[in-house]
Amino acid sequence: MLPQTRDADTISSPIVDDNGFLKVEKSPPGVVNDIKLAFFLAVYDVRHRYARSIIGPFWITLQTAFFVGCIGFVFSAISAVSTRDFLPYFAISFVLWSFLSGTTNNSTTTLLDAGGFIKDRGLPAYVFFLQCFFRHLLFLAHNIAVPILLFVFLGGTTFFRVIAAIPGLVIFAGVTLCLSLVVGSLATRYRDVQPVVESLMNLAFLASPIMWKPDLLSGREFLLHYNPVVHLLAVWRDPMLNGVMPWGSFAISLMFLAVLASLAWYALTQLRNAPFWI
Amino acid sequence: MASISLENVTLDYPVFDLNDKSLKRRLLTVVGGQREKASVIRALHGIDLEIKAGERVGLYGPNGSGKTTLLRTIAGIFPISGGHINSTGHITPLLGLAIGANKEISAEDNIRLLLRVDGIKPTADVVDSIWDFTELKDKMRRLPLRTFSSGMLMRVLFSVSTAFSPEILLLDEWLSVVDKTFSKKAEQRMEDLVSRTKILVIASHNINMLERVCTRIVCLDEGRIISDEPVVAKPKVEEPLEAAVHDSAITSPGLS
Repeated sequence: MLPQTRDADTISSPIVDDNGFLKVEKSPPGVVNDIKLAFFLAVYDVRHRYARSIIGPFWITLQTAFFVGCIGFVFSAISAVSTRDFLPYFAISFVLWSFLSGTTNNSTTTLLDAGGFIKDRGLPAYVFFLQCFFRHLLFLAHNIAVPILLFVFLGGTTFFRVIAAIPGLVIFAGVTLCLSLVVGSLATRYRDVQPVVESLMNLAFLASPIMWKPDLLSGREFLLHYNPVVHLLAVWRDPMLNGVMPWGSFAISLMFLAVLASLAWYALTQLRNAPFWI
Repeated sequence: MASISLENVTLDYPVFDLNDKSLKRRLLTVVGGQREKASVIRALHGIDLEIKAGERVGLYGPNGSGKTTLLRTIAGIFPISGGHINSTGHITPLLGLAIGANKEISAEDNIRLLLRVDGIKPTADVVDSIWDFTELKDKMRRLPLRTFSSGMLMRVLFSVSTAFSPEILLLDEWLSVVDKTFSKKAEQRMEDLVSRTKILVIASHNINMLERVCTRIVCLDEGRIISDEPVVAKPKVEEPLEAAVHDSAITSPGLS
């Protein structure tokens, strides 16, 4: 009986050898392979979250559109600016802020979720921070449709202004990645960090000009100067919406990025201990 | 050429209790001047182990003797506190079958996912051939794993995990499927897998299985090697598979 079953699955297939093992070369381990794996895992996350719906991941877009629409109308009324002016401003700010805060909040639990991969399959821990970053980058790619549509119909920027915003956006993304590595590592080692991060993110959202415009604070501008989020928003938002390059904010944001990058580097060296933390 | 060499390796395993996991308390103790070190358990004591290509090493010992810890150390998952590790060849740790399986997504997608994790591009051919090995009905391919019975789930996970023969394979317990009809095939696949890997290190407390599979048995107790002896060649058993099926009473790890 046994030889029959064996024969059945070893019928001379080009990819299977005599013992029924697949003849496939493994990709060599390394950073490139890790990045590819992280991206693949992220795509899977997004695809499977919306697997049983027709419009699929565009639910994310719809959700964002709904939120932006409702809050946009209310807050433009509260801050007495025209809705037409406020909606694109709020949409682009909110979508990018969600990317930063979503990645950071998610990074606090990502290693715990991947415990088995790290402890039993020996995958390096940083792969899962990359996965988290890529997942939110994919969410952003869906969400960005909302501000793009608003810009197209309501105006507010030009093609060249969007190009001018790219350096600022790169800094913003760099900060997001480094922040998630630092915060994620810290929160995995010390479990009481996660709720702190969550409330800090909420605080930053409300205290920074995302749902309101900076000029609403006239007379108390110091509230903006000492808030790093303001500068991180300004580096891409000023060129995109106002056509000016805020060099001061660039300097502050780059310094902020440098500090975070060195902390992230330190976190990466500590991550070899991650199997003990999980 | 594959080889593993451990020289006087010690491993301190930090045990974090609730206090050590709290940043708030950690900061308070720093401010208060009393600095407590997290308690550390020495999990491995001066381990010397040379494994050459062609060897199949069984790690034997009671619970908590350091078998799995040693496997994780060899795989480079745990950073060692002292000594040296040198290994050549690609190490594949397979310490749990169900690791990474997502019950919400389809069987087919799980196969792809697990292949990716192993660094293999999941082409249609590869996925087909793995699915064929499971002998499950074709319509089940697209069903989420949570609809599978535990036996069927094991078939899928087993088929993916053993589809490739790695250079150095680290196993925590013998992988087996309890399913009667599938277990012979699975045992055969395991025997083939083991005979093709250049180095196998397998941890178990089933000495019969270790003596059958391994060429050398290392006994561990409390993180120390207490004996390291070759398995004396026994006359070939008439029907090795019958014995194999009998041994597979141990349930597979990772699915408990």
